[in-house]
Formats: sequence, structure tokens, C-alpha cells
Amino acid sequence: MINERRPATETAFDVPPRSALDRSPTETVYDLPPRRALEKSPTETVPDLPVRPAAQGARRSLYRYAGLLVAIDVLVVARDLWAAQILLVPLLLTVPGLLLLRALRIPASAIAAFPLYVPAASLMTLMGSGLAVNLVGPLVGVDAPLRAVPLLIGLQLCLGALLLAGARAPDDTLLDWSGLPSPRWTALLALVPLVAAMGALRLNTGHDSVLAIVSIVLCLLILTVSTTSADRLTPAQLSVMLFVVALAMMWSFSLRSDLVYGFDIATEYGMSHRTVQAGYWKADNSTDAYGAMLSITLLPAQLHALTGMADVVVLKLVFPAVFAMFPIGVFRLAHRFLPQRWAFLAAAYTLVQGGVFQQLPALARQEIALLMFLALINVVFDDRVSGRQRALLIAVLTPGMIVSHYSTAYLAVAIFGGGVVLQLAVSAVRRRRALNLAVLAVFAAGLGSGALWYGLVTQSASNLSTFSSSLSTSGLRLLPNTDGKGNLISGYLKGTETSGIKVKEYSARLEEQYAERTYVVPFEDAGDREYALYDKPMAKPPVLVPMLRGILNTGELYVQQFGNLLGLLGALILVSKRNSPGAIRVIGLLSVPALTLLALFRLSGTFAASYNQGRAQLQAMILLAVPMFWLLHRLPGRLERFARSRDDQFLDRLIRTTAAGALLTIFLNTTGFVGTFFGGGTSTNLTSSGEDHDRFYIQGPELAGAEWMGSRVALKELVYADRYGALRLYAMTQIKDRLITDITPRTLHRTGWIYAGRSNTVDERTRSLVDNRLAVFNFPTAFVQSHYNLVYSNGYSGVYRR
Amino acid sequence: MSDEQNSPGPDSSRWLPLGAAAGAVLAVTLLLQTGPGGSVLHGLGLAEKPPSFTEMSFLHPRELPARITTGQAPAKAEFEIRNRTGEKQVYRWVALAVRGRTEVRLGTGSVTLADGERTTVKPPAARCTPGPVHYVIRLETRRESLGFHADCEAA
Repeated sequence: MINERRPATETAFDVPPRSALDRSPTETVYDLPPRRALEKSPTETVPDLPVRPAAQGARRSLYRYAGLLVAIDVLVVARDLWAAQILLVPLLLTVPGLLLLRALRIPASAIAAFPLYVPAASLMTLMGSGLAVNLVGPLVGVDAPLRAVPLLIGLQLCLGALLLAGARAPDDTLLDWSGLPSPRWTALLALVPLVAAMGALRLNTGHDSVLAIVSIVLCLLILTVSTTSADRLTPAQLSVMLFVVALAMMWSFSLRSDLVYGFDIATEYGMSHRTVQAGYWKADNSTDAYGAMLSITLLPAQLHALTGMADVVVLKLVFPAVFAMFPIGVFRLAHRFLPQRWAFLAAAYTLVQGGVFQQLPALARQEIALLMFLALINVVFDDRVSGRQRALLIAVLTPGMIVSHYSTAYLAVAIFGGGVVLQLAVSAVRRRRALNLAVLAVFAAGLGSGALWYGLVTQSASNLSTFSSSLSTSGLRLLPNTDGKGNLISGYLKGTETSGIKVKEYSARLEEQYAERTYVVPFEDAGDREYALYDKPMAKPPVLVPMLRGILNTGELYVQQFGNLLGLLGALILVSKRNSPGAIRVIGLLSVPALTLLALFRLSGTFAASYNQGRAQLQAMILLAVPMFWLLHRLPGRLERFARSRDDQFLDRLIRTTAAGALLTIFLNTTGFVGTFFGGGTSTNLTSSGEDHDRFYIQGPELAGAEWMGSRVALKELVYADRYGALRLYAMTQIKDRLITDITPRTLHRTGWIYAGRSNTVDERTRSLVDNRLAVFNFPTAFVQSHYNLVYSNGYSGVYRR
Repeated sequence: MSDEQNSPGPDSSRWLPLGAAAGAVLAVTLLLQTGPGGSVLHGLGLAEKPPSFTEMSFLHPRELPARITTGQAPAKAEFEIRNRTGEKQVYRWVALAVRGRTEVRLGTGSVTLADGERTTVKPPAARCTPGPVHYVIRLETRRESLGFHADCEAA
């Protein structure tokens, strides 16, 4: 096994001898200890989840797993009980993965150092067995195979096979769980996500936000303690802390709303719900790329069938719980290259990025795909596994990412492809072969399985062709949000995020656009003055300390961009430095294409339309966090000669404290905490009013209206709904392609349907997007009522038809 | 922190408190799923009551009449009232013929519905002079309403 683990061709970037790394006491964690030392005494290097030394453990482990498989059977039978559901979820997210990893002979030390392998492998096993059942079921007369019994049979056959395959696995694959943090300590921390969940539920029922605020304060405390005491805590303790903060904050958003909360999640719910209802996943998804994603079709249907949880609960509770492992993965990955305190800061920095708490729970498919991507990145650098094991992990995880989310997969392939090209360039310059085969393998596996899945199997690559045609017709559309004065820096900082537009300009833009849409024939009196639209933005609570609010809002952006700059600098230094250790040089090499793509998403409207820049930032941050914090960590050593203080750790502490202060401030800002106390409005995790609440908080009566309409609209009929009213339709109906989101007198056709949500009917406000700019104006009630029939009404939503 | 040291063998006493806590959580979960447990959740504000609303809709939204004749009930204009408020309700509806700012009361009715129950109502005869008219049905003291546009014809 030892010889098998590092074949000569595995990494051409030679890891330098430890003497080259041990320049300062803090640098020794750049690389793992020599392999033989690791195997002799695994508990010394991996303080949590150490390898069980006893050889007898294999048989006992076999019995234990067999017992767990029986327990899964029993619990699935009793799945109507919440208690059974609570037990089933962790079992389904760990047992399949542990069995798969054991069958692949992945050493326990590798799993202990990167526990994210377990849920990633579990998800892959679940999706694999579910897909097999879905394909085989109809062949043996089961028309709806995605039901509990067929899925359980398929899963048990799969797990049984894995159990047998792992029966003769060597002892180094046996995990010893005694290294986990104290159960009491873990249980105490586990209360924090529960408090956050209770806070969200109480807000849903019209109560105050006290518990929600308490949960943020608790998270802040945990982050403060962990950042200041990172050296005194074990990696397992720090991992649990990251997990509870991530889970608490994600639940505080995901549990809001009568259905799901967020934009994409509405469509994802609709997709998963239809799969649940049909009991079958259809492979051909040429008309809808969402349908090709197993993460939002087959997987939730499977978890629903096996655990008995409603599919909406699976998306709101279980998916965020899975993704809460993400910061742990970043921490463990960074810990391969950085001292623990710096690695923790890197993970915490990634965690507090604006998109994680609010956006990710609203992107179920990306929650799964990012986990797979992160696990893949770690595989590339994992020198606890052999070349064969690495190849097996890549073969398992890459398809997992591909079938989970197309954009994550495309970006991943681009990053790894860029990494390969850069490595070849470096090889050419240095006249020495320096190609990391794992990077090449991930690139090839991504390309191959992507072509297979999006092309042959699901025929769902339409978004790629849309992107390429938009690129060829519109070009890059650089800096679409510039102020017209040629201010490049302000244009760059504004990025490609959605901005606002006045209704007058919006209407003028619509005139141009609808001149080409000959299928829309407006009413003759559509231009009458009595129907003129006017801006109707929501009133915001006054900002109590405007300067502070301004500093925090712009500060977050500047910190993020400064972080990217540091990441770029760090990456360039790592790439160009002659004596960079092999693995960390590869991180640098992958960071460069990641940063290039990030810049493109920020600069180009065409790229931004294909992948939200915030999400791209998060995906890239997995790689960037390492060079960024590597640079910060190295800075004190470089500046030491200029320091007057005799305390050689002073600069290190100063930079760490500044970084920690910045990320805690960002945390308070992104969680809405600042808005609660300093005015200016806050996010929906803390309030039941405001812009976000109006857009994304879906209420039961709105769903009833959407459902009523969905069953009555005929093919090819035009349907109107505003940008956020459309979310209710995405969730409850299959109306998508013939949906128009401009509800104005000049854009309403003489026949069709109009769906009006609560915002339209109660507040008489509508929102529409043109050129990535959002107009907020009055709902044209008088015009609609005088030209259309009101055919459905429930006080919170209405349906018009003509 | 001492209990976090690695031990070569299984240490059941270490996991006993966790097992007990997990058992207690499961027992509480089982209790919460019962009727009284549900009441506790509602009392704590942790469980939502089903959304409370009333639905009004035309039975044939695509076939609403483009013409109505005064003195006759409009064809294909039956509407439905569905109670989803969680409790019994008495609904009073009123039908109006609206032209400009003029409203003509065509008829009223009332219906009592238990939660979840629905009923179909036939609209009253129209009374209007020839010309375009907006036939409106409203629930009194509530926000729900329906309406369609038609040309009124003399009998």
C-alpha cells in the first residue's frame, strides 16, 4: 500500500523536503508529515476521527454496518414518525458514504482529515442507486420507481454490495469515533441552529424576532471565540463551530415563507415536486436544463420517499444541513497548507460571504454541486490517498458534480482546464515537466462526464448554446453598469449585479423591445394618460447612522475585492516562486484561472447572465481563500525587519485580529443584524416586512391562486406575472416559456392570463427587470380591471383572463 | 478537554450522555407529533396554522359570456366560493352591474360553509341598458370579488 500511494508520476511538482518548508515555526503545516510517520502514528497528526488500531475492528465494523442497514429498513417503515425522520436523515447522509469510501479503500486518516468525503460519497451513492432504480423500474413493470419500496430495495442492494466489497478492506480504513469532540459540548452547540430555526418559525407565525436575534448573537459569540482561540481548539471542535454557525444562519433564511424562500428554489421546488408526484425522473430534458439536475429531481424525491419528509422540508431543512459542511471542507482544505488559526480564518471568511447564508439555501442544486466541487479540489491535494484511490474518488465525485449543477460544473471544468494550460506553460518556461495528473484527470473527467450527461443522456446543453450565441451576437458587454462617464473603477465595483431603473426609462426600453414582439398586440387605449405608470418603491425605515451603514455596505464590497486582489497576489507568488511546495503551487495555478473568470463575471454582462457573480465568487473562494490567507500569514515574516516591537508574534496577531474584525463585521452586516439596530431595513431572517420579504416570502393563498391558474392555462396561451409573482407560478405550475414578466398597459396582449400575487393585489406594486435593471412601479389595477375579467380571487392573489 | 483525548478502545461512558440526550430528543419528538404536542408547538409559535382565506372563482373562466341579456341570468357565469379559513363562515355576496361610476345592484345571497367546504352559486339575472357593462360579484365585508366584461342586450 505504501508504495502504491505515491507513484512517481502522481505529482510532478515535487514536494520539497521538510527542511525547505520549516523556515518558521508557523510554516510547518504546509505539507503533511512523511507518510511513514503518518501511518505509524496516525493519532498524532489527525487529532479527530483517528484510525482504529485494532485489527479485530474489521469484523465488528462489518456487523455494525449491517446493523445500521437493518436500522434504515426499520426506520423507513416507521417514516411517518418525526423521530424516525430525524434518525433517518443523518443515517442516509453518512452510512452510504462510509460504505462507499470503505469499498474504495480510502484510508480513515484521509476521511478524518476531510470529513466532507462522507456526505459527498453518500449523496453520490444515493443518486447512483436512485438512478439505477429509476432506469430499471419501468423495465420490470414498476412505473413509478421513485417510491419508498423500490428505492429502499435499490439502496439496500447497493449498500449490501458496498458492504461486501469493503469487507476485506485493510484496517487503515476503520474509523475510530472516539476522537470526536465531547458529546456534551457538541450538544450544547447544536442548540444554536435549533434557536435559529425556532426564531424563523416564530417570525413565520407573526411573533417577534427576539429568538432570531439571539441566534445571531450566539453565532457571533461562537465565531469570536473560535477565531481568537483557534490554536487552542481541536480541528474537530472548530469544524463543529463552523457547522453550527453555517446551519443556524442558513436555516434562519430557508425556514422562512409558507413554501420555499428565494428565487431559484421556487423553480427547484416545482421540479422536485413534479418528480415526487410522478414517481419517475425523465432523462430527456432538452427543453428544461433544471430537469436534468438529479440534485433537484431524483435526490429530493428519493429523500422524501425514504424519510417520509415532505419534499419542501427536504429542501428547507436537509439541503442546508448538508451544505453546512461546506465551511468545514474549506477549513480542512486550507489546513493542509496553513496553520490552524489561519485556516480557520480562511473558512470563516468564505462562510460570511454575502451569498452563503441567504443565497445558497435558495440554490438547492448548487448546495450539492459545491460540496462535490470542494471534495474534488481536496482529492487533488490529498496525499493520504494513493494514486488509484485518488482516481477512484475523482471518478465518483466528478459525475456527482456534473449531475448536480451545470453552472458549477462548467466553471469547474474551466478552472481545471485553465490549470492544465497554466501548468503546461510553466513546464515550457522551466523546461521541466510539471503537470499534476490529478488536475488533468478532473478536467478530463469533467469534460467527459459533462458531454455524456448534458449531451447524450439529458440533451440539456441548451444553456451552453444560449451562452455562445449571446456571446457571438452581443459580445462581452463590458461593464454594463457603468455610469456613462467612462468611470472604469466605479463600473467594476458596481459589477454586473442588478441595479434600479426608473419606470420612464423602463417603459422606453420596453417600447423598443416589444416593437419586435409582434405576437403582443396591445389595447388601443393602452397609452392613455389615465393609465400612466409611476415609480412605487417600498418605503425604507430611516437609517439611524447613515455613515456607519454606508461604510458597512461599501466596506463589504471593498473587503471582498481586496480579498480577491490578495488572492491574486498570493496565487502569482505561489506560481512564480521557485521553491513553492508542490501542492500549494497547484492551488496557486488553479486560482489564476478562477480569478480570471471572476473578473470576467464582474466585467462582462454576457458572462454574468450565464452565472451569477456572487455564486461564482463563492465557488472560486474555495481556491482563493488559500493563497489569500497564505499571503496574509506570510506577511508578518516579511515585515518583521520593519517592526519595532520585540514581540515576534505581534504582527501576526495584528493582521489576524484585523482580518477577524473585518469578517465579524461582514457577518453582522450580511445577517441583517446591523440593519435591525441601525435602521435602513433588514433581511427576512429578522423581519416580516421590507423588499426581500415582499419578493420572496411566498404565502399560502398566493400558491392557491397559482395552482388554480396552472391547471386552467392551455398550451401557447400567454401568461403575465411580475418578476416575483412568477416565482409562485414556477413553484406550482409548469408555466415557464410563455411567461411575460412585464405587466404594463403597453405590453399586455388582448388575450391571455395575468397572475397577481400579494404584492400586486394588496400593495398594488409590481417589479420587472429590463437589461438587468429592476423597475418598481404601480400595478396597473385600473387598466387590468377594465380590460380583463377577474376570474379568481382570494384576497391575497388574483387571476385575470381575457 | 480531557475527554477529547483519543482512546484506543470504545468508551461507552463517554457516549452515554449523548445517547441519553438523543433518547430524550426522540421521546420529545414523538410527543410533539401528538395532538397535545401540536398545541404546545402552536402555543410556542413554532407551528403555523394553515393559511386562512376564501377562494372565489368562475367555474368556466374561458367561457364567460361576451354578451348578456337584461332580465336573464348570464350563461356560463356560475361561480364557486370555497372556505379555507379554518372555521365555519357565513358568506354574503352581492352582484352588481357596473358602468362607469354607476353600480346597479342585481341581487344578493348568503351561504354558510364549513371549513374546506365549497359551493357553486348561479349568478342573478342582469338588469342593464344596452352597452358595455362590468358584471361584478363581491363578498360583503371581504376583499374577494370576481367580474367579467360583457355587452348588455335588451331582452
